[in-house]
Amino acid sequence: MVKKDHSVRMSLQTLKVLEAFLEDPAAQLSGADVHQRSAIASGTLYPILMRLEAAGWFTSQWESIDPSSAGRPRRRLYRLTSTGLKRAGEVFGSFNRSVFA
Amino acid sequence: MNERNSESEPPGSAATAATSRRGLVPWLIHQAARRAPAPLAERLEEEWLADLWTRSSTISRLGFALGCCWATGIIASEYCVLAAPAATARGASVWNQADPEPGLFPRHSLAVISVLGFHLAIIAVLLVGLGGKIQHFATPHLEIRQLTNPERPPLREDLPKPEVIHKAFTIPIPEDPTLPEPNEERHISAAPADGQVQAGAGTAAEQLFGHAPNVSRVAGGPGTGFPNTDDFYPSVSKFRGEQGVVTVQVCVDPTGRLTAEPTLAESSGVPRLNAGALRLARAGSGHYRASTEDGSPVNSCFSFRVHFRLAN
Repeated sequence: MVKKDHSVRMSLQTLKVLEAFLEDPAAQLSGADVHQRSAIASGTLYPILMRLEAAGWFTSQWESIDPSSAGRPRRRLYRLTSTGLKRAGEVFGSFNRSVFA
Repeated sequence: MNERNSESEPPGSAATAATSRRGLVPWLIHQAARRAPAPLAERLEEEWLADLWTRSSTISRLGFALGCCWATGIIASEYCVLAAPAATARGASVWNQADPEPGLFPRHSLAVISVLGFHLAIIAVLLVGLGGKIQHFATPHLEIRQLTNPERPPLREDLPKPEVIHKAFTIPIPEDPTLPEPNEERHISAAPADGQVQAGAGTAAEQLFGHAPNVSRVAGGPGTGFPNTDDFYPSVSKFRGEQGVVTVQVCVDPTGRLTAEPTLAESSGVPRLNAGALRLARAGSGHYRASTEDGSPVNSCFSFRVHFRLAN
């Protein structure tokens, strides 16, 4: 297993993804949900989700539905970890301090 | 990252993925996922096919699939970097694990073919869509005929002539219509956007005819303990320097609690700021100053402005 490095390169798109999760930190969002909230294209969105998951900010799991009865495929749901919540808060906090100090 | 694939598959997922693999877009996603690192390929394909399910339009689905092709390259390169130290430590070959399968086409060829296909699809749609209009505007075939002896139907003499009736109408005009004095002072109530106090009495019609008693109305607004606007200033908006004024309409009961979901009365032009203002309006429930009639708080709807301004 790859050792998790909690440092993540911040970009505007990464901030947008984090903001989508910070609106409700306990929510589980699929890639499609994040796309609807942040309007980030799939080519950028999924690498960010994978990057944040590899860094331990997110955790993901399959949606617990029966696809045959639900009539649609199960989704991969992402959720902020406690580490991710803390680090995201630090990122936005330090950002606000540096810009509005 | 290998632990991602260790979860058990629920029954039916493979069948659903297989059925949703038909067509060009699912095929593109399948090809993109095949090129991802082997431990992630199956997961990415199922995840992307599930997210593709939410896209309705063909263009959106095609754009999503092309984005997945692009994402595969980034994920593969980052996976190599992340997996390198761990694999080196246990003496394994990273590139054997992370290098995607050659597949049907190399990655760049697949991207070029996808872009070309996308353009061809757009051209085809334009041609098909405009074809009908071009035919519609094309000049029809003209046929010239020379009529030598045009035949007119004979006039009928047996029909009676139409009778013309002349009638005069008179409209009664009152000699002394009673109108109100133009300089008479009137109070017409309105919900102020800035939440300032305004007094009025009855509707305009009631005031005009003097049938309703005067009622002193004071519009409500944000009251004591209302949340701070800065707490609801979206961080991304601060980052991007977005500023604006949002007018929000709320309906509150006499205790200052919301009776309905706040709505946007006037947009700032920035959806992120609009959403922040609506969140602020929701959070302020219970801290509104209710509108009053003759000093008594009543159910009412009013609007107020939220200013998002960056400090210098």
